This record gives sequence, C-alpha cells and structure tokens, in this order.
Amino acid sequence: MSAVLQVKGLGKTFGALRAVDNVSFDVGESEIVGLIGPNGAGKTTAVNLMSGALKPSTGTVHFRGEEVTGLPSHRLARRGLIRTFQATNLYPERTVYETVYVGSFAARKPDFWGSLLLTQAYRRESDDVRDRIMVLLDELGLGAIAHARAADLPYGYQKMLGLAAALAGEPRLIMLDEPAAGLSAEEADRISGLIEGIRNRGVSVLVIDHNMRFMARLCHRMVVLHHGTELTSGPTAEVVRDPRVLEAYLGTEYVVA
Amino acid sequence: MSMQSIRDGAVSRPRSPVRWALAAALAAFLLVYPFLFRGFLTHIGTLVLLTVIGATGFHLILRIGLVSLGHAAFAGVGGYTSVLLMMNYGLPWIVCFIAGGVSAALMALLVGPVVLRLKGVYFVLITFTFGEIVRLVFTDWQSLTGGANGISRIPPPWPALLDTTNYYYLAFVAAAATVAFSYRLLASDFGRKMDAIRESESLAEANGIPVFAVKVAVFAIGCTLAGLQGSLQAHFIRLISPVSYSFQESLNFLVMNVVGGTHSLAGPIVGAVFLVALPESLRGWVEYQFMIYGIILIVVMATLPGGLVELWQNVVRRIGSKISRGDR
Amino acid sequence: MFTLPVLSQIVLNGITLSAIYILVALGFTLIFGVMRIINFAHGEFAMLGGFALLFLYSALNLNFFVALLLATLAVGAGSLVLEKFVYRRFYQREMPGMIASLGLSIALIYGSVVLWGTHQRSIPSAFSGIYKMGPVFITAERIAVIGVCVASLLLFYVVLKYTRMGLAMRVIAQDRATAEAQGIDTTSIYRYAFFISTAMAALAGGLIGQLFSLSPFMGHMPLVKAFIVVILGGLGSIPGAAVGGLILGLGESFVSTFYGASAAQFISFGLIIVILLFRPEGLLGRKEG
Repeated sequence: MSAVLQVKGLGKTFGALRAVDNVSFDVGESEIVGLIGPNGAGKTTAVNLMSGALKPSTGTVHFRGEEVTGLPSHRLARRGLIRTFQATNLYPERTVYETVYVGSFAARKPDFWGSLLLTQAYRRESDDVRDRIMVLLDELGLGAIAHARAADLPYGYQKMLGLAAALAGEPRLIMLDEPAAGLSAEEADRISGLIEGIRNRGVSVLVIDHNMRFMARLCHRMVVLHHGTELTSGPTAEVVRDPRVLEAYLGTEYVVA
Repeated sequence: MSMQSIRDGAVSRPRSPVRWALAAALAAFLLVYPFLFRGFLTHIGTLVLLTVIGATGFHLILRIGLVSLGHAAFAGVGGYTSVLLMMNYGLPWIVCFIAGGVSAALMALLVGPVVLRLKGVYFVLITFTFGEIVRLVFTDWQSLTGGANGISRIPPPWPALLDTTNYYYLAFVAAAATVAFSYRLLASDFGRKMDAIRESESLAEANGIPVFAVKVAVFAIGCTLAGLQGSLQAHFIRLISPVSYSFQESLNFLVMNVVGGTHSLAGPIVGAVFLVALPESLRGWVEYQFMIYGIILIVVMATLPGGLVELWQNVVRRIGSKISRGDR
Repeated sequence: MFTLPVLSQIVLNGITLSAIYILVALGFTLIFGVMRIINFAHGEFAMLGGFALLFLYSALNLNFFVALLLATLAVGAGSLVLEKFVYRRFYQREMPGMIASLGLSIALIYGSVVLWGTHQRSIPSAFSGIYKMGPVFITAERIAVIGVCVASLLLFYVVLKYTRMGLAMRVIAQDRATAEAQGIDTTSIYRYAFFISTAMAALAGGLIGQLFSLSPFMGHMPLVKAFIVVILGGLGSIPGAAVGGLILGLGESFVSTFYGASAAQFISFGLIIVILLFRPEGLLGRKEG
C-alpha cells in the first residue's frame, strides 16, 4: 500500500510559540487516518499546514509522490487534496446547488470562453455536471433542499453541505476538520457512515477530531497530538489502550460523549 | 424538485420572455432617443452612456467584495493616454482608444497585486491614496499634462463625431458592448468564482479557486473599463484636467452602484442614469442642484439600503403576488 | 541650510500644522471608532466653524477667544440636529453611512455656496505681535493657535480618560455588544461623541480660517489630512491620531520647506502606501477581527 500523503517533521512556530512541532505520519490508499488530541493540541494548525492555508516553518509534505510543501490551497485542491472547515464556512448567499457547483471547480477547469458565450459544447458539459451534482446531493440527502440558501440551513445540513462541496471536487484525499463537532449522536453516526462510504470509493480520509469515541469507531490508524507534538501513533486498537493517550485526555478533558 | 428548476436556478439564469422584452424595449428606446430628445438632452444621454461603462467596471470589482476609491484615477490614465497619443503623435483614434484601455489595464496589473493584499476598509483607504497620487502626477507633470489647467481643445475621434448625435451612437455601442460582456461574465462560471470569493475567500481557495489571481483579473477588467470610459469621455467633453479624475469622481462611481443597487448589474446602470441625469435635470435651479442631489442621496440611503433596483424588485414582487392571488 | 533658526522655524510651523491636523483627525477617528461611520462630511463641519467664527468675530466684533468658543459650541450644537435626522440611521453600517455622509457633505458645501458665494474670504488677523525667542521669530497668532489646540487636546484627553462618558465611549469602541449588554445608553453616548467630534472640527476650521482662508470648498483639505493621519496612526485609535498628526505636520513642514509643497504631498501619500502594506492597522492601531 503506497502512501497518498506523507508528512515528515512538520512544524510551525508563531513567534515564540511552537504550535506544531516535528509531526510525521502517512496516509495510505483508501485509508481512514485520525488526527486526534485534546483541544489546543495543534490539530487545526496541522491541517492548515498540510492544506496550504499556512506555510510550514519546518518539514515536508508529499502528496501522491510529489512534494507539495507550502503550495497554496487552491493548487492542492486541484491536485486532489481537499479540506473542510471546523467552523461553518460556507457561501452564505449561495444555494446548496450553487455551493456544490463551485466545489466541482477543483475537479474540472470550466471553459472560460465557452461559459461566457454559452457554446453548444459548454451546454452539453454543464448538463453532465448538473446530473453528477444532483446524484451527489441525493446521496447526501441534500437533493430536496438544493434551492435553499446556505445561510438558512440548520447546522447539521450546513456541515453536510461543506462535505458535499469538498466531495464535488473529486478529492483523492479529503481532510475533514471536526466533521462531527456540534452534531447529535444520530447525525454523527450518519457522518461516520458517509465517511466510510467515501473511503470505499477509493478516497483516502484524514479526520481531525477530539472525540475519542467517534474516532475510535471510524479510523484505521490514529496519530495523537499533544501540545503540538506527536504523542504516539499506530493502529486504532493500540492507540486507544495507550496509557499516555488516556492521561493526555484525562489531564485536560475527558471525552466520553 | 425538478431538474428543470435546478437548471434555471443555478447553471444559467432564468430567461424569462418578460426580461428579454424589457431589454429589447430599452434598446429600442435608446436607439431612437436622439430623435426624441435633441440637443442638450442628447448630450446628457451620451454622458450617461459613457458613465455606464466606468460604473459597470466599478461594479465588477464590487462583486468580488472590494470598493476601489482609485477608480477615477484609472479613467484618468486612459483619458490622458488617449488624448496625448492623439494630440502629440497624431495616431488614429481607434488606436488611442485601445491604448486608453490597455494603459489602464497595465496600471491595474502593476498596482493590483500590491493593493489587493489588503481587504475591506483598508483596501478602500489604499486605493484612495493611490488615486490621490495619480491626481498629483496629473497636476505636477506640467510639461506633459498641462498641469492643473489640463488639456483643452481635444479633437473628436473623427470630424463627424463633432456632432453630438453621432457621438451618442458611438457611446451607445460601447456601453451596450460593456453591459453585454459584463452580464455574460457575471452569469458565467467565472462569475460563480467571483461570488464565491466575495462570500468566503478561504472556502473558495479550498475549492480550488485561485483567489488572488481572480481578484487581480477582475480588478484589471474593471479598471480597463474605467480607462475606456476615460478615453471616450475625454474626446467627447474635449477638455480634461486633474479635477475630472479626483477622488470625488471615484466616490461618484461608488454612489451610483449603491444608489442603484450592489447585487445586480442593473444597479450601476440605474445609478448612472440617476446620478448623471439628476444634477443636470436640476439645472433649472442651478444654485440648489447639488444641494438637492446631496439630500436625495441621504434619503435613498436611509430608505432603500438595497438601492433603486431593490425598490423595483419589491414593486414587481408585490404586483406578482397580487396577480397570483387573483388567479386562485 | 540646516541652521538652528531655520530648523526651529520648521519645527514651529510643523507643530502648528500638527496641532490643527490632530484636532481634525481626533474627531474623525472618534466617530469611526464609536459609531463605525467614515464621516465624509467631517471637513464641512470645519468649514462651518470657519464661517461661524467669521460672523461672530468680524461682524459682531466679539473678542477672538470668545468668538472662537461660541463658534465651536454653535457648530457642535447645530450638528446634533444632523445627528438626529441623518447620522443616527446609519450607525454601525459602514457603507451606507459613508455614502449618506458624502451626500451630506455635498449638501452642506452647496448650501454654503448659496449663502456665502464661492469666493475666498479671510478672517481678519486677531493678533499682530511678533516675539523673538532666542533665534526664533514667533507670531502672536501662532502662539494663540498652538495654545488653543493644546488646551482643547488636553480637555479632550481628560474627558475621554477620566469621565464616565469618556469611559463609555472607549468601551463601545472596544466592544459594542458587551457595552450594550452592560446597559450603557449608547444613544446618548453617540450624541456626546458626535458633539465632541464636530466641535473639534469646527474649532480647527476657525483656526484654519485665521491662518489661511475660508471658502465653502475648504473642507476637502482637512478631510484628506484626517484620512492620512488616521491611516498613519490606525483607524479608530486616539493615541494613533496624535502620533500620526505629529508625524504628518512636522514631516510636511520639513519637506515642503526644502523640496516644495508637492514633494511633501507625494511623500506623505507614499508613506501611507508603505504603512498600509506592512502594517495596515496603523502605527498604533490594533488588528481588526
């Protein structure tokens, strides 16, 4: 199994603060890897470093065999590395359909002149795109509200919409920043099922969360961050039994939810 | 939810026959306008059409969430370039006209990557400062620009265009082309990217949109339109000076968009009509015209935050709901 | 060239300019900090102050300082009518507020044209003495201008720092939601802030009228200076306005003495571009959001 994503010695300092220090791990083909740690462990900073939102101070990131360290987000997205956001980050005035339509730009380069002049070829292509998006929306249970404005959706649907927009970009690896945060137990279960479905289609998944129960059921392997450094990593079954992990969690907040 | 309604809602705009009929009626009206209203009113009509070009350029920049108070400076770059090329080198007008647009575009490509690093109110402030610097250059580079007095007796594009009615049609063609291009641009996939950037830059970036490059491109397109207006207007008014491109002129572009409405391309068009024609139509009360203009601005802002286009949409919606109620 | 008399003259001119710029910019930045309005009519309140002083001093022959005080208070009080009917609708709405204030600016300028015509006027000089302090000559006029500015800046500082009202303004500028949750009566605080802002502009306008000249269009200069000062110091920052005003006034005086007035303008705008690019929140401002 070759690694889709290889992270080596990743680090970021803000002034004197070391937010992330020397983190290394791989994500393999069709694998679900969890990046876990208590609040403030540096998880989101790590995602920002890998997805191009921030430039790393040290270390390298390889994606599908090529070095992508420090590339801007949009170039990574076009290569197939797409992230979602922890806080709700949507286009508030766009509809569900429009949001996912924009999401599909990561996977295709729309023909500028064709779109401007509405050529026949462009119209045929956009019919295909529309059909694909509707299939995706129906799969995610968003088909019935395709016309609703993103800002008007309930929170659970907004999270789902963020996921849908990322999937429309046809990622090879998707990074999910706290996909289940703030969701009810049933909604979280649904997201779990969806993530497994994504993985079954051959997409690698990197999930970031602090909810141990949610992560333990979902992930094949885990990387545990604590105070910005890598505490341990390995198969989920080993990690959850590691006394250091338990201590890190008990020391800050005990998550059983 | 039917596929058809999805298609109408997002991929391409609804193409209702009413809209087309309205657009056709407007175009027909504009074509016969010089015969209906001769003389001075044709002059005003020409000014409105020319202003629409620059105001539309401002609107495009506004649609990526940015307010440029340096917009008039780009019109000035286009205006001076075009006039100087014609008067000093005797180049044919069409070359000067294109050079007017290109010079503004080059300036935008030079300045844009720098000023576009800033957002929100800081972008407003830096473009304001840039505009003031350009105005100072126009004023101080006396050997070239004629200083504060500017350049007068500018020749028209060609002799036939000394006639206002002929110039009106030139302005009409240019404005119609500008509006048609901008309408398609905003409705195209590029327009979807602009919407995305305005509403969330970080998500747009994560969706694979090269945010910075799109911003620079839109800024350059908007400034090009300003430069083209600058060129056309200079040869129409036949007098340019630094005052024509001051920061108040940039503010006027903003005011047109806000008074008209910032959410649709109709906004700058309605706004240009309102803001160019209104002071002129108050000319009967010369002393009070600007005072009244200022007061109207305040009243519009206080009562119609979405601009005149929103007022129109509300009226249409109300009539529409009355009709559908009558159907039941 | 760099002799002591010349340098001290430059510094003296610079301080006079700085004092006036700070007066104008403080009011401008106060309204932005508290109400989130970029007040494009700010310069027009300075213009009104100049005309009020002209009337009270030249036509009614009042004592200069009494006339200046009355002009300041009159414009401040009169502006509250505009606050009630215009500004209040736009608080915390940056874009509509900016445009409405622009409309007001135009209405005030051309209203003044109707009343007073477009020609330049000057307020007769109230002071004629010239004093020699060591190598430096200083006119009584300048002493009066600097004195008035320093006194009113001190008063402003005391009000903002040591009164409940000043505290409330600072709290609102920091965090309006909390301020309202704490039960601060924002309506009356806004009114006070507005009064202080326009009164200071009017005072500056009177002094500009005394030093230079008056016309309905004179408001553009103080507005642009306020813009520059506030960008230098940081939008909404009170100490920033003071520092920015000093830098601009002294810098302008120095550069224009040696290289001419337009060089001074170029340099001040160039400086702003550099500051906006590398420190957009200004020298003393805090980052937004």
